Amino acid sequence: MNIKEYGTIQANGEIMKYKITIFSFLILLIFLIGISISIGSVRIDIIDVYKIIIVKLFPFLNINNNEVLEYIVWNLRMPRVLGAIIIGAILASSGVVCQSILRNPLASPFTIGLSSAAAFGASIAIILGAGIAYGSYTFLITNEFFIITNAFILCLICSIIISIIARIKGTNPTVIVLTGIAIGYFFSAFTSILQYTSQAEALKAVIVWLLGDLGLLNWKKLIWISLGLIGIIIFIHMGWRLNAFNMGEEIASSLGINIKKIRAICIIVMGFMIAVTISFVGVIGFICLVSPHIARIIIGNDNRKLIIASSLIGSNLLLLSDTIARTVFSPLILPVGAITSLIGGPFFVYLLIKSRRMYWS
Amino acid sequence: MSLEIINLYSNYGLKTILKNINLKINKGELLAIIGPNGAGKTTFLKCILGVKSYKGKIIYDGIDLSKISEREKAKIISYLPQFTPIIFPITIFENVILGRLPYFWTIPKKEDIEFVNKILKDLNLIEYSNRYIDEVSGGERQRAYIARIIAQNSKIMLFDEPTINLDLKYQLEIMELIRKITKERNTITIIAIHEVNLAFKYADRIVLLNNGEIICNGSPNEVINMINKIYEVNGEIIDFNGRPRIIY
Repeated sequence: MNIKEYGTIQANGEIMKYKITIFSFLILLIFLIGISISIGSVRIDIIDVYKIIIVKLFPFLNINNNEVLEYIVWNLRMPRVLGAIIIGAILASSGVVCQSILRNPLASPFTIGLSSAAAFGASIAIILGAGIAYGSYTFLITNEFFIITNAFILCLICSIIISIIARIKGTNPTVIVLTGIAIGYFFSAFTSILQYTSQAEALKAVIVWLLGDLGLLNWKKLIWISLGLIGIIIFIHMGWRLNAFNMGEEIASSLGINIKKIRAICIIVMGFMIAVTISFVGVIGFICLVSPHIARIIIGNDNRKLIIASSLIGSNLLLLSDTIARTVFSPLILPVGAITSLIGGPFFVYLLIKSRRMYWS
Repeated sequence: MSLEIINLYSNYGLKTILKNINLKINKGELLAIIGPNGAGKTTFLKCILGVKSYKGKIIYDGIDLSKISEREKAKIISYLPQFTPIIFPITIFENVILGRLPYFWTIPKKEDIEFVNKILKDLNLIEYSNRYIDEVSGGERQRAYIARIIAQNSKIMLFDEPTINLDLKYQLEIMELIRKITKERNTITIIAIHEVNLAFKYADRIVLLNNGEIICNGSPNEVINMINKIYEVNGEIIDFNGRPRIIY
């Protein structure tokens, strides 16, 4: 056996493992889509769900469908399901990149303060009825547009501040993480003050927003949220460069990586991805942290594969959580953010115990 | 082609680490930097790499290394630090192919993968290529890191204490390997090393640093007489196959 063959066999083994993982999670996702859409106040047969989706995707097939069911599946339930998939993928992939560029297994876009900034923005809108971009509307207690724009702008401002710090202190990721945590506390303090001085109704609205809710999604909002997927493409493109960060700043630099620049770009892109998702659905935090680690345990630490696998795991986890959140105590819908942690936490601990080795040092 | 270091100064805050370093290193030459702790050996390598600020000029083949991009510099200089602080362990293959990073943007080319496989085979690492870097022995890990340096195919190779924490067999093996690739690939190789006898055995030239200044720059036989004075020891100098050694 020559070198080329040997190397190819070795590489093939790894690629096969990766392909099987991706394929399995894709199948699981398709299955979850069917289950999630079929369950609700109107029960729909899972076969009908897939038929309606196929007809909508391929209109030329000319299969007859029940129009009422079609409306429920496509206009009422599909945006929520698709939203869970897209948001799960965006959150999970940004978690991978955050851990890689900051060289910290505990880092996530939420631990560096992005969610706290967005929460403060949403609180301003909910409690004060004020929009950062469009002035003050004191008579509006819960204006959705203000919640979205405020959360988006403050999340982005937070990511810009952190990326500037990353530019200045580029070679020290710990400084960036600690700065992010400090910024997070800073915004949380403002949110707490707002909550403390708010009326009971507004306070409840803030808490509901902070727990995350996919129920408000529609096709129009999905288009905005989908913009976050561009970030995943950028990150996949940067996969090899992100791998170099793993070797330490000096080695990454010796491999031709402009550490400060790449780190600042990643933080800005990540800020945009997080802003575009949580401004629409509120804070769903745990996925950012847990999905990358589940993916690391299954396929290793190569960022090119990790970003895709982690995105798929994030999609599955959020869709499963949302399905459980709206069915377990139906018609009461539980907060999806809490369910994500309830499912993801034990599963993660199970994988940690079962795993032969640690995937971070 | 040579690497020229002209009037190099570097400091950490108010403390001057390197003072007026002037040095010329030729192609195919293996230079060992020795000196007591805090002499400035690692800082010297980091200045050449460009991760530590300095005053003065570092010129390779007429190119001022401070004026070129990281990517272009990575094609000229490769670097192995004392300790590689990997957070998320990767496989040996993934580590070695990182050496090709200066030569591709998104996906490594077929030639890159073939080149890496050849290096892995040459260094007897092909069987371990899918093993995680934290699962192999210290000597194999160090060979894997050196394989990455070879994959980078640079003109200047910098090694900071490449034999640290290795047993005697691996110390010799790693130094043999570094010398072999220096001569085969005609590179400029600079090694910062504590183990002076390894430096005397393998280096073509030795620079003795103390308090950031060059005390002595010459062949092993020219430098060895300064060792007792600078390290404040009383070692006996002997000759071993034409190269000096010091016995404590």
